[in-house]
Amino acid sequence: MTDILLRLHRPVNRERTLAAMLLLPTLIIVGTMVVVPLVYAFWLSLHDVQASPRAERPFVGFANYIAILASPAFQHALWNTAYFTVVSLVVQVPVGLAIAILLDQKFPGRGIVRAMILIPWALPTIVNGALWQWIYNPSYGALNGLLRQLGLIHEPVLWLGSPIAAMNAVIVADTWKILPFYAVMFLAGLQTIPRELFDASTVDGATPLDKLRYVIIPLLKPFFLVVLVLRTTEMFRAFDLIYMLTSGGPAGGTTVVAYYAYQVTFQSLRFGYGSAVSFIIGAVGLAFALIYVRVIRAGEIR
Amino acid sequence: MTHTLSRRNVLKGGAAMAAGALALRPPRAAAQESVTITQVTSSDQVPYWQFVNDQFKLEHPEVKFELIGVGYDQMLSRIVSQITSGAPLDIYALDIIWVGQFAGQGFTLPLDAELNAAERAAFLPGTLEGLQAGGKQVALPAAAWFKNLFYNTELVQKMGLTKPPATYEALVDACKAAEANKVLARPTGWGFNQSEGMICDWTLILHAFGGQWFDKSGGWAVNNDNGVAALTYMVDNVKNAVFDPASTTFSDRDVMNPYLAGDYFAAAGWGLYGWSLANSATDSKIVGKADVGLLYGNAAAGTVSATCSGVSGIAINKDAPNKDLSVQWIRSFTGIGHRENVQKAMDLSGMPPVQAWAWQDPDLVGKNPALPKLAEQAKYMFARPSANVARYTEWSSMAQIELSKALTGQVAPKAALDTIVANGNRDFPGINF
Repeated sequence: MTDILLRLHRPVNRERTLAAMLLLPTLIIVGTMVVVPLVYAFWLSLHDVQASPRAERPFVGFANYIAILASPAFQHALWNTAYFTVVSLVVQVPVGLAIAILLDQKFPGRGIVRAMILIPWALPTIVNGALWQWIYNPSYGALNGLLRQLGLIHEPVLWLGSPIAAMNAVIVADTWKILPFYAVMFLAGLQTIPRELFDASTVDGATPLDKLRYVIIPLLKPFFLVVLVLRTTEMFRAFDLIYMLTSGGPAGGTTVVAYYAYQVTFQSLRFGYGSAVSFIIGAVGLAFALIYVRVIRAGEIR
Repeated sequence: MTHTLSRRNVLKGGAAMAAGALALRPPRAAAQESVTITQVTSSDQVPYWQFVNDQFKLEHPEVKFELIGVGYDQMLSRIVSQITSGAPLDIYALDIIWVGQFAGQGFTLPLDAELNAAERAAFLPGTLEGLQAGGKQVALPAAAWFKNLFYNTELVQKMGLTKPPATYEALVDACKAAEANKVLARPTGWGFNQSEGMICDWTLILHAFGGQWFDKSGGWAVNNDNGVAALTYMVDNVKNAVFDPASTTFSDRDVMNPYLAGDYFAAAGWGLYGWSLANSATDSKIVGKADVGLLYGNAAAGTVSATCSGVSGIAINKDAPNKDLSVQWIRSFTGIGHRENVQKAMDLSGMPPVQAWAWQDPDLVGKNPALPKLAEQAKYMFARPSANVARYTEWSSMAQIELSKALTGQVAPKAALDTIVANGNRDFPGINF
């Protein structure tokens, strides 16, 4: 008995108790706001749940998941999402890095430029969608107006007129908004690199490209990991921009998985099926995150 | 005599006060307990329902209203979550495209018993019918939306015409002539982007060409000869730039912009809303030049005109906490014969009248001169197949993609329609015939 009391009064145990007490409110909030809905959504995904509160909700096991994976509409949406993700990342990572390197240089007005570049990121996605909707408007849009004034086009270009054009237009709109995020992340990373490494590489005769290849990219790997994981999962949840700009069209060419989930859940009112779609989206995002972690850690070991 | 403040004395005093308070309380029957009716509607209709609710409260002072206005795009999910979560909901707006879906899910209280024959006859033809599923009145009409042809009188004259073309064949000729004579670069356009609006425009063209949703046996029939002719017409004239090629990127609202800017000689728009836009000094450059006529017919099919119904209704939740009061409310709002209500509906929320007489009423027409012309179109009203498909919105999404594929040149019109029919017969069999 005395032993137990003594153990409780040890500083380590007191700290653990305090830590547990401090964590308790967060655990309760996370438990009720995240875990419970998550478990309920998983339960829904295993049942055939229609909207009516009076309707039967039979257990169907993984039938919803099987039906989704076999559905051509979902496969098409998955393909669209993959295209959206890969092309966006291929464009956004290098451009974001270039902006970060530029902002890392000393030049007059650097503070103002650094602040101004954040403006697109501060815009709500839905506002960004409305903005680009007008930019892309074939009759009165700013983009066609500019190209016409420059004499580059005579007929209006339908930026959202074909599936591939519309998807690329969505990527441009997304890129405009999200580039500051990449720039800020990479700029933070650049500032952790000791200046001596750049000086030493200069002494060794390294060109700017060599510095990028042998100093910046290797030392920014943890930042690449964070950016890739965050952005990939975000792209698998992309909804607002698609909703505003294209509504998934034309010809389903911009229907990404999150938009598909919205359609089956809130338009078709198939809650079980829609929950299963959401879990599949989550699983794919998690898989990508794990792959990134493995690839980047493998690079670090070498 | 001394008094001590013991726990016993305090409890005794408290009990005595409670008994006194109960004794002094007025009899239960004498006090009117307030009840709250919860109503969900679209934001633009809130001012009118506020007016109706205030009127209802004059006769029912015990009633309070919780009037929730949401944007149209959020309305479906809001109403469904309210019903499925068991949150109180008595009355809600019901769009024509949810009729089959809501009836199938048992979300609505049938309202057939609330109307007598005279009241039924007073509704604008097509409005009551649009809100029926399986012979049951799922909702009562609240706003008689349907599409009209809006045209620019000045541009029609410049095109060498005295009035807009009457048929789709004549429309093509007129557009080609206007383009050739450099009167207009793009004489007209449509809302053919992948959205519900495309289904509306398809509905009116399909029916003008003599097409139909279902055959006599209840199978999907949009790929019959008339259906193929209608879609081929849409595809060919967009592809050949007879109609604005940007039509494939326009919603049914977007297509009004070139018309309001004076770039189109005509466009199909939603009734009173389109008329208000065309005559709004802030939204339109064609104020004073706008007029309204019948949407086109098809000479080959022998049709005069066809439009798409977008009637908006008002329904009672089957599990409404205040069912009886809600029924009384819906009867009072229907207001057959209430001229003031009709005028308020138009003034406050731009809601077109659901009562047939209102479109010809001298007082109302005096304030809204376009009413009789707009009403002409109601004789040619066709609905989307929302009452005959249990999951209409899902069917519509599928059909939008296939139509969009045809309009963007990825598949032939016949192939797109064959897919719609095959998917329809497999996943969306017709119901409620």
